[in-house]
Amino acid sequence: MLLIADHLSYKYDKLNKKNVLDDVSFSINKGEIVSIIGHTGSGKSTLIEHFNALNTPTEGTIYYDGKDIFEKDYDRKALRAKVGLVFQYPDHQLFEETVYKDVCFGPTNLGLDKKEVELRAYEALKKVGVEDDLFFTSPFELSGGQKKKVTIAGVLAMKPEVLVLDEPTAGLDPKWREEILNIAKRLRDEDGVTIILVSHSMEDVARYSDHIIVMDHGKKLLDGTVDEVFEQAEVLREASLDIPESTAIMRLLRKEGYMVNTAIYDADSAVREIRQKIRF
Amino acid sequence: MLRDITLGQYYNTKSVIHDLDPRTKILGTMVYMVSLFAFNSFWTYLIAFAALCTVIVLSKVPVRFMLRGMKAIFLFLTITVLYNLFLTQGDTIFSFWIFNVTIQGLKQAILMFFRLTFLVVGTSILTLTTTPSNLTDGLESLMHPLKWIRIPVAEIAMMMSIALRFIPVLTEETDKIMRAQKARGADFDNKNLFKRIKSYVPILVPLFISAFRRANDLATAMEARAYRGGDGRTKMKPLKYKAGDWIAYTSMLLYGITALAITVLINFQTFMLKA
Repeated sequence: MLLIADHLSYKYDKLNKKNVLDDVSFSINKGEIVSIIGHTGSGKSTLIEHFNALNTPTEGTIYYDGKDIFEKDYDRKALRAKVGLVFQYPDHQLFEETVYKDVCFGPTNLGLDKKEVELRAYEALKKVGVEDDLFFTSPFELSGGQKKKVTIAGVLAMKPEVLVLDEPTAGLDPKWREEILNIAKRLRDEDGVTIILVSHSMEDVARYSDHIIVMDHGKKLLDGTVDEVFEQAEVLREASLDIPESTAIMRLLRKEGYMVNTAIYDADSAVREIRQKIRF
Repeated sequence: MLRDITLGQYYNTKSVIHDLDPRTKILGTMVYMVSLFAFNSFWTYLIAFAALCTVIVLSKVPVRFMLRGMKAIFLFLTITVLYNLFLTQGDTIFSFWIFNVTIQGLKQAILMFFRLTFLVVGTSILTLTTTPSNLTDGLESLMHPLKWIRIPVAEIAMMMSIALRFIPVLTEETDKIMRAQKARGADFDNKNLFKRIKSYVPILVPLFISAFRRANDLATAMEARAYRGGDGRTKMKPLKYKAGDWIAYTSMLLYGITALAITVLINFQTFMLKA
């Protein structure tokens, strides 16, 4: 187990009685793609900011690689290189004159020498598929999807072991969504990076995840494999979340007595499955 | 982190003072300030103190909130009091080393202490009991006559309320940007001053870009709703005097007259004694 949340609770201030996070515990394995899903205000963004110690829990703690990251002498700056966090809005991060310089910011902060920094920046940009001719343009002239790629590269250049993506698909069209999620998958498959996706939409991330954690009002509602979580459709509905439509259809067909596979999360596979299993 | 900063110091509760029209409160504060400078006998200050206490009790704001403003001027207050105490010419009470404490100096120092304290507490009542937007409305209405000398009062007020509206938005954004850069290993606690200033560039650039973008969006949104300056604009909540305001104005007048009468009486007495 790479990352363990141990009875984590968090409040904005001591006077406030409301817990933003309330006794949350789970563990994440190395090389998994984990999705943390919840509605707005469920505490998912607050939760992930604990992973690299940007937030300090009111109670409980987090263990990374077997060590308590909120222990007094733990090197939290080094942790931020190991657990890379990409925020939702690229505009909150991009600031340099060129794309390339911006990606260099992270590794430079790690105190690496110039050659190493430039090599890492180059590799990171290549990895996310930014074309060479964009390297020296201003990051502010890019499209939303390109900006997103550059921000991911900016964090990747620090060579994280865990990459946390907060709402990676928000505000992107379907083509870009697919592309960004494929980058995440490729990073896991080729480099063994553990991926944590944060989203409010099952539809988006179900296909890519090995493990889903559902948050609701600061509490952990469900935790398990995709199938295990979708099994609990009723519970999800109560948290104003839904299983993907394709999955819902497959489950209905199953209920009606058709022997179809219910572990299907997108329209294309649903169509294929129905064609194969049901003869009219 | 930055979330703790709240704008102004509005204390949310219900009281007769909170319910007053902002114009009444602004004018009342002005009357009070003028009275502190115009009248400086013991008896007028006693009345000023009584008036202050009455308003504090009516406002239902805890006194410690009023005294918070005192912290900011503590140094200034100390210097003023010491300056007056030691450097006023007159009849010496006692002296040590190079300092001469005179009876006039002592009086002046005490007067200055109370004047500044009353000033700070008096003005903080205004900001504690009036929301920033209400305050802007009140100022706009009071500055209305300045239109005659071609000062764009409505535009200034609009700028003020927009600025007030965006302070919390930009504060939150700064917080988010700081977190995003920290996640990339940025260090804002550097001991070296030059390096620390430099470390704020990654925050300032995104912040400015977003502020300009927001300004642009807002301008477009205002344009789309045919905003064309302050002329002939009506208000959603027009300012209206209520019974309480007239009571407040009467009290202000009574306060002014009493203080003036006492001053005249004291001066008349000293004049008679001399004669």
